Amino acid sequence: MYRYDEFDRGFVESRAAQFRDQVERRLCGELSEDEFKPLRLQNGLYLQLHAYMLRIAIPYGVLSSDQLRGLAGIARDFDRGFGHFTTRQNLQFNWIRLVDAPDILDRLAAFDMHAIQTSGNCIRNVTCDPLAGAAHDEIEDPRVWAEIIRQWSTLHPEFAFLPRKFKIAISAGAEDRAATGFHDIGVRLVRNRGGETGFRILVGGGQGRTPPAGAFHPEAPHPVLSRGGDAGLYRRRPPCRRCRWCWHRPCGMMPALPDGYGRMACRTGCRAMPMRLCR
Amino acid sequence: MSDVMFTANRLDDGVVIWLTRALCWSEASTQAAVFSDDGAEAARDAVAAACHRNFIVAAYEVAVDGRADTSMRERIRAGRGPTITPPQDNRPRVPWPVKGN
Repeated sequence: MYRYDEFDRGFVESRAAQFRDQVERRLCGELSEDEFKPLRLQNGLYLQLHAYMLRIAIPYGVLSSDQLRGLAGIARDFDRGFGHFTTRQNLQFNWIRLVDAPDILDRLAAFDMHAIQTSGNCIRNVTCDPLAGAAHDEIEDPRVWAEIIRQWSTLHPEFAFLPRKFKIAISAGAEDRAATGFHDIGVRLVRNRGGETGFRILVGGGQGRTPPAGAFHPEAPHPVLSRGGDAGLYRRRPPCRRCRWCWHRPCGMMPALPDGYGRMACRTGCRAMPMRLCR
Repeated sequence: MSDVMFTANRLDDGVVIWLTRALCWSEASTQAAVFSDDGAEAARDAVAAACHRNFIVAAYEVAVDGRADTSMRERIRAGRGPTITPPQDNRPRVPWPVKGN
């Protein structure tokens, strides 16, 4: 798993300090709720039915024993003694007090964790096969690729304010244990007849009450993701949550497009916008 | 004009609170008051004042239509959560072995 260096630690600590200041300004009335809401959401803090909820990122579901102990300590000291592991491999604490949130972020930073990009319209935590590294049917360890995607997508300025949230999952097993078809981008590691490893890319899947399955994009070679700056991210998403995207291959029903571009089209009639494919 | 109740979350800890007949805020949903007509206007003023002094957040009114129960959302909020029974660790606590014993 990735190990924080000095820069990483300094950054996460500075974000926690920044959020402490924002919370203090909210509590004293210097910030209104409308001003504060996007700030708390960028640090994973929701206001839900019962209380505040803090969602903590667990990159591709990998935790060290020290981190797990640290999270248990947070549950014991700031919540009701337990948390909720989500289907997308995050951890949620559901009875957090706003006044405690800065202390929790400090604690998280102390053991190399944070809650950045666990909320809001950005690229969320990359989900991986929970058996990654131990599965008998996997082609190679998908966590390596998940880490590359994590590094690329973390704090990427172009994707910090997307129209909607954006989720990526990766799996390398014969069995899809990461539900890649139900993510905006699903990545399956596959081998071709020549024995070369590549990706089967699914695009346009979703979760929620009416989850659409992602559609297949022809296999692409490894360099796609290592240079993944344009890895299939669409630039527009309709504001309506029920409005789902579908994917058309550039050689299919859609009009001809420049090389390297596909098109996302919306079933409900919103205007589609060309998007850069993985090349 | 239908009868209404007022609810919000307390800003500093997010706890669900309800506006009482005395225009104070209570964590007990049983103390929530139902307001109508003139009383509702005074209650709205109290809600606005509480928002203004940063005591509450996400305030809204709940229409009370005379039925015995309110919406599922409000029942969940009043129940203080969670809506499932959390797992209990009932195993006996075994002390860690101490070296030298």
